[in-house]
Amino acid sequence: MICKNVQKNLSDYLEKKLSDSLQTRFEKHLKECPNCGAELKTLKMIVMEASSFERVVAPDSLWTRIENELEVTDEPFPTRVSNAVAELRQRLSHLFKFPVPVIQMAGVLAILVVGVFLGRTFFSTRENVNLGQQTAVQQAELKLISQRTEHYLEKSTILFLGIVNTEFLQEENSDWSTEKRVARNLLKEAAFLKGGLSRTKNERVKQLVEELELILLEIANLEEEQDIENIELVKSGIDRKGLLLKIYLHDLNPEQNLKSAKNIL
Amino acid sequence: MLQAAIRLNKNKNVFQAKKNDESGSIDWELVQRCRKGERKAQYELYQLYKDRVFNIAYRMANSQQDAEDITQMAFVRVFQKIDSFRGDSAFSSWVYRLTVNICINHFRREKRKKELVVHELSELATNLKILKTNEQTSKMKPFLEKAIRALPAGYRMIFVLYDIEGYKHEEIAEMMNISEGTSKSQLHKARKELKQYLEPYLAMYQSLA
Repeated sequence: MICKNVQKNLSDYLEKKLSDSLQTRFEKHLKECPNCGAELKTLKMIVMEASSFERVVAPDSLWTRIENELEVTDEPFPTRVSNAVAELRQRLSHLFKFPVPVIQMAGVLAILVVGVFLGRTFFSTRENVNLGQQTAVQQAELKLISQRTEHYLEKSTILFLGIVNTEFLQEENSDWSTEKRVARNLLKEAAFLKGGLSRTKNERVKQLVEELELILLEIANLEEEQDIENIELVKSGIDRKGLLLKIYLHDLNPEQNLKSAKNIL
Repeated sequence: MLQAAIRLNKNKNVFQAKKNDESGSIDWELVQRCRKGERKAQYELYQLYKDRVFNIAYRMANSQQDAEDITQMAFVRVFQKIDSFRGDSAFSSWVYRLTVNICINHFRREKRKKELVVHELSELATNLKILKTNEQTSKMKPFLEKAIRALPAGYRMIFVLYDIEGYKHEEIAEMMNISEGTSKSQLHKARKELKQYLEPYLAMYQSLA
């Protein structure tokens, strides 16, 4: 039998849990091996000392402690919470001992701070009003620009149609003063509309207005008397740029024009 | 002779607890009354188990204060959880299982350095002459107590339950929710570690004995 096996089973040997044959071999080894003998001695000492530890007795006061804790845990939860709050308040009152006026002032200050905070958080509508007002103004402006653009295009169309349909040979003594006046007014209108349309970012209509503006400028610069060459230039300009067709197309879908402008807004 | 002394002591220790469990009907009735929150019944139950619980706690902690705290925790837990006792095991086993759990949780994180224990033991040896002992108390006991405190919580628990309190491996396995084999092997390791601590003082012990 080797020492390792003996030392591993010393506890069982000590408690006589080994089989008879194993126990005989065990005892034989222990007699011959001083190391294992010493091991057994130490183990015996430990086990004997451990088993003869004196009994200790729970002190009488222990039940009182347990009972007190049970009374706390037996209480319904809200009572426990309120007790805990009361205890906390008592502890805090020891920590912060201030004169009464100081506490009152601190209380008033705290209420003011909370009130201002709540007021700013929940009752401030300034930004919303501003935002609402802004949106309303923008919508009104958009409507105005849209209306004036329509008038501008309509008047331009009439003006252009009048010029395009003029037969100079038949009307030799024609006077262009009315057309020039109308063109000048429309130019002023175009200047206003360009600004408005660039704000609304309605590039397509703005481009149309600019194209018409060039022709209107030519009309406004016509000579008072027979200026057949320039008239022909105006006519070809209107024709070349397909302005009447563009106006016509624009007029076909006025709602979409307005909608796209709104979306951009 | 030694065996007889050990078994006698163990029998003495487990006698009271077994007596309570054998008359299981009394315990069960007590349990029912405790469930209703009857303070008197709780006190009766406490009286039945207080010393066993206190001794386990005391041997684990080796301090009166810690033992009292653990015992208090154990009984409060027993009364709080008494509704969950289904009677699958003896009530005493259930109470000790809660105690053991509390002990192990309490001491799990507490690790004493081996160097410190060796130093304490050597100090003890130096002051051996002035150690106050009586006829029943061997002068080696303080050494053993110190060495036990150096064991890891799991080993210590098994050593306390088996060698000091006299429980069987079967009972320990149930209390600690481990197998009997684990209980035996851990006891073996615990004893081996104790032997390492105490070996230097063995000659002294033999001269004292």
